[in-house]
Amino acid sequence: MAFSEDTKERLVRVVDVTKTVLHYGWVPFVLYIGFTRSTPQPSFIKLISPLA
Amino acid sequence: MYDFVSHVLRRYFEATGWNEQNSYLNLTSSSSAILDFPIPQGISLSISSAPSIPFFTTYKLRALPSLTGSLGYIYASTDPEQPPLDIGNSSKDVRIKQLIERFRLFENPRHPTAKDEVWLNGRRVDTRDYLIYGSMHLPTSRMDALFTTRLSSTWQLIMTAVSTPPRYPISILPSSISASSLAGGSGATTSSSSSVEKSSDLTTNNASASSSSPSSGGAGPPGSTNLQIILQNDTGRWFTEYCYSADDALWGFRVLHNFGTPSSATPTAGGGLTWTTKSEARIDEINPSGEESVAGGGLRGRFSAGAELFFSAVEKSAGLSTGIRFTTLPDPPAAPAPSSGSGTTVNASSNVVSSSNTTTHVSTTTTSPSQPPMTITATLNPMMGHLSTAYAAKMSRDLVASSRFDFNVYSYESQLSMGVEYWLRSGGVRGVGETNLASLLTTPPPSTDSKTYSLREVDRPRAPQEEVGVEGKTESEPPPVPPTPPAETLRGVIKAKVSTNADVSLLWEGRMNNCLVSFGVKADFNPTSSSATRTSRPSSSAYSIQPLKSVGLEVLYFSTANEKVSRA
Repeated sequence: MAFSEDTKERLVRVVDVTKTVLHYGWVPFVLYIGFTRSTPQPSFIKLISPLA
Repeated sequence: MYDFVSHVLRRYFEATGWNEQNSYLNLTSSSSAILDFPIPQGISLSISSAPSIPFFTTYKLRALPSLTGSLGYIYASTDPEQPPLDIGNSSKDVRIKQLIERFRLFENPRHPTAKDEVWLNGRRVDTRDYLIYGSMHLPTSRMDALFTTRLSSTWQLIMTAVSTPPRYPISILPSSISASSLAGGSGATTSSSSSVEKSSDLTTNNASASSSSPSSGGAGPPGSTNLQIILQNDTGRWFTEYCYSADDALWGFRVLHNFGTPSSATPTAGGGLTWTTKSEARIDEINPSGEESVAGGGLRGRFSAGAELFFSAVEKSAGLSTGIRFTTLPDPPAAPAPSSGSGTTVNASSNVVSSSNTTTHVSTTTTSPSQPPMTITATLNPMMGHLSTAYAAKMSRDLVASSRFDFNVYSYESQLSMGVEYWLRSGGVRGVGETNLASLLTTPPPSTDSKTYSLREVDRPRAPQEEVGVEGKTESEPPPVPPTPPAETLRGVIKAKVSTNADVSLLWEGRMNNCLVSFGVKADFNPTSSSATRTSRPSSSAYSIQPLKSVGLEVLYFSTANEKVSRA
């Protein structure tokens, strides 16, 4: 079964959007994981500034 | 000097009881730490902190050659029953040896410890240990990612990725997709190892051919993602790794075997070892009498052999590397043997290791003299015809020397490299620390029963303890508390390397105020080699003798929330 051109293009677009989301979303994801699972939860300024 | 992410990753492995030194990638790490130490590039400043202990933030700024920066976050989840992740509090207080790539004797291989299962209402509620890391580079928007988790007591998964930002985030043409995929395949040779260089020094300080890629700003064409998956299995005796790099469809397999007595040998290890549980038993304590191989000259040591095989489906190429290593066994620490089998050291794996180490060697080392710590390795790449033999030995307490001979059986090219590693100590407490440490390193643990009063002992600054010991003989008091190890007096290390190609490298790493500083210089005094090998240099300047090749300065500072609280 061969994909049609439309399906190929849609597939390529989905893969590309997924990669883009992963690329820009990974660091906020790590930040979210670390912020929610650490006890006590640090203040927001400590996440932004290393000298806080 | 390891960067902060590598430091946290190593402490994570330590906290979870994973022996990453058992990998084939670390076969030659003893000699390569002295001969292949990296020189910092440009000026680099790294500031890291821990808002709460398992959660870390790290910032890095680089200048000269170009101004770049990165922002990263690390979170590690470890067993709450175990001691928390200890990264050394701050760069002011951390043990400096934890951050410096150095000569070290390989630990006795041990079976990884299994976590205690926690069940609640018929369901297992304990979670896996994992570490997650993400970093964004600016202004290139390159993203580094790392995820590692323990699948079971003997299996570990490591996933690393280096992603470059897509040029056209949303709207993209199919034609450009095919072009970029082709470009990604052509760049596979350089990017195959660059994915892991950032993740840690796990896969960079090794003898394999995939370790020579320098840290570069770009990891490939725009939109490319280099994903590498490593599956590791460690049973103490065998360490196998299965790798897959998605960028160039690179499949890899590594294996390392530690020779010794089989683990299925006599299971009785004496009454002194009954306090260790089954999962914590090391393979060499099963049969303490004939535990390891004995090389010529009476050296007690251990042989290890390994191999690495790679195959790239895209490039239709393969690579093979084999190696063998002989390393002497580390001396037992001069601590008293654990008495009466109390289970207090079951939780801390490091304590278990040191304590069991004492029990296994106490019967042999009290009678036999100590041996110089050394490591001999030989690696062979049959396809490229590259043979490399290396020797590293600790000559004194602070001095380690290493030499390596590289030879190509096809082209008959050869190279001899020599290097030293010298530890600097603070002068104030040098006398005390030197005596105590030297006694730890070179002499067997002193026995209080057979005390011989010699002139040499009178010179030791331990007169109060001798008085206590003499008085205690009549009153049958418990033996005095053994002298605590001296405070960390190391100030840094100097490394120097020279080879027959007339390239010289110098590196100083140490603590300066609250920061850890690394300063290095690399020079090449051979004009012919510089013109032949420096292909990136313009041809006009190729023949001009410029010995200084690179100078770099790296500053690392980190602190934790605990340290801030204690100060306040």
